[in-house]
Amino acid sequence: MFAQLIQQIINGLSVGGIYGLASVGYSLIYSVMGFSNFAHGELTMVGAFAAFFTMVALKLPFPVSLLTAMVSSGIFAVVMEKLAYRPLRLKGAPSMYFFIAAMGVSVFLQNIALVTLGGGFRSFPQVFGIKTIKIGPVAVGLVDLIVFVISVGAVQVAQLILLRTRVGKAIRAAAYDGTTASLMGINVDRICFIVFLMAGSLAGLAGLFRGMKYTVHANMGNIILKAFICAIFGGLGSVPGALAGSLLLGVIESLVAGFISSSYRDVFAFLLLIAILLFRPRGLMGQAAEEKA
Amino acid sequence: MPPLLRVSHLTKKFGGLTAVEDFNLEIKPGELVGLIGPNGAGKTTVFNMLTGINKPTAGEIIFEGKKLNDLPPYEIAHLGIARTFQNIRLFTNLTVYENVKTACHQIADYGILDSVFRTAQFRKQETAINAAALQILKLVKLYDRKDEIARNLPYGHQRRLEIARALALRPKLLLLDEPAAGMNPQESAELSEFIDWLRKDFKLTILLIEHHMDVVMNICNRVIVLNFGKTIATGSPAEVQANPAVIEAYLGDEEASA
Repeated sequence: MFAQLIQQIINGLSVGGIYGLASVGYSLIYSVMGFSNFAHGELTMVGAFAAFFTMVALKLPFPVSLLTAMVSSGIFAVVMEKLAYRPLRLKGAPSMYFFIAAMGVSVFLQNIALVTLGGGFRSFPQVFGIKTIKIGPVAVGLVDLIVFVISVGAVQVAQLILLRTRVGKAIRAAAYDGTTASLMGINVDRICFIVFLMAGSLAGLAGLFRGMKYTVHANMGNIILKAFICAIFGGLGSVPGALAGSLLLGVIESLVAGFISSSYRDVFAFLLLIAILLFRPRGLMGQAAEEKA
Repeated sequence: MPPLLRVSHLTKKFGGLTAVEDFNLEIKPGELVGLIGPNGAGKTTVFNMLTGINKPTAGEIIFEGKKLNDLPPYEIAHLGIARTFQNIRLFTNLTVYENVKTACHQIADYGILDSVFRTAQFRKQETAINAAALQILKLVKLYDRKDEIARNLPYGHQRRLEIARALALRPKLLLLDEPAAGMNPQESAELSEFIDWLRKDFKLTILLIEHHMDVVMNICNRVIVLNFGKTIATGSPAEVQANPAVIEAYLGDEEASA
């Protein structure tokens, strides 16, 4: 019983790490651009396929596929921003237009994938085998461990960029007030480019890991719903919050699946969302919304 | 001496509303010019056009011989025009120090790779930026509060921080939008002194929007009065104060109010 509990928690942390990769980028885009990028899930799908074909068709080693996942999702994200969102931003369109554009991009990418790659499920070659590491009575899957470590590591790097670099400071300034930031000499177009590049490459990693743990398919963009819950759970706009929310959701889901039933997993996830919105709408680490002067 | 800023026939229409009409202005280096007028006269719209937030409908803005009409705000900031806001717009989620550094950083020219690998160029510039930011904070007497989150500062301090952030861009032209708003006579007198000192010490050229007449009268070389988007008077503070059109704009036409 105890061993099973620990195993479920570790499994949950690895799933949570994947959610974290997706939700941190989603949250970052939300805080700078002020809209929910519903097409963020499709970026994970792009990364998963890119990595899959790198390994299966090109027979290149795993680290290369990891890189292709990040690069291709990063590029897709930047192109998405340039073609779909930038024109709206330059026109000063209301945020509802962005939401609609994002849904359009999501449906578009999903269907392009369905038409060109088919609706089938593809499984990743076994990279780390089904090896497990024994810690006392607990057997931990090597994949889970690696996924967890790289995910948390990547999110930490993103957080360091935000807190320690000049670009990071500019991103935080632009997230707070884009107009004032531009008057302080910050090129907001460039900030959006960088934010999408960062968010896209994190999403690519998420897609690769999710593909490794489960399967690769055209509809895997549905992870956006979970990323959305995690970002709200942690407090929209907060990177540590999004990560904490993701890990918590991963563990809760995994415990529900292990001890109740996996068919209740999503029910709990959405109950959690409703509960947060009712009782703590600013999330675990979010700042209370305040009026802008 | 050629003017630092030359604005000719500047007009801005929002739909059917003419916010600013045929606005003309020349500022020589080192001048302090006041822009006054009743609420809604178009003063802030002039600032918004000078800084690239609103694009002019007609007219020309020439700064140091360069046309600004179609430049984005960040490029205008790089050319040397900085501003503050009527409603303070700090990055209230950042610390006092970070607010100033955000603006300082735009002068740095190292790339992202330099910051990742912490090259010599990066370290040298970073040290210079930190020193510059701290010096500016000392000037505005906020050094002791540099690690506080900007939103926790009292109102008067936030005003000073906003000016500090604008100075960090090392502007040639500083636009101040009602810096004395909400201040008592004692505070606004101190602010006048501070602005006058800034102009002399930093060799700044300043365009000032202000409702506190004491501030305008004490420190401005010239005053321009706007009403409903139109320039109704220009001249020295004393001339403008005695101008019947200005008195009417501020106090209202007697017949209309009777």
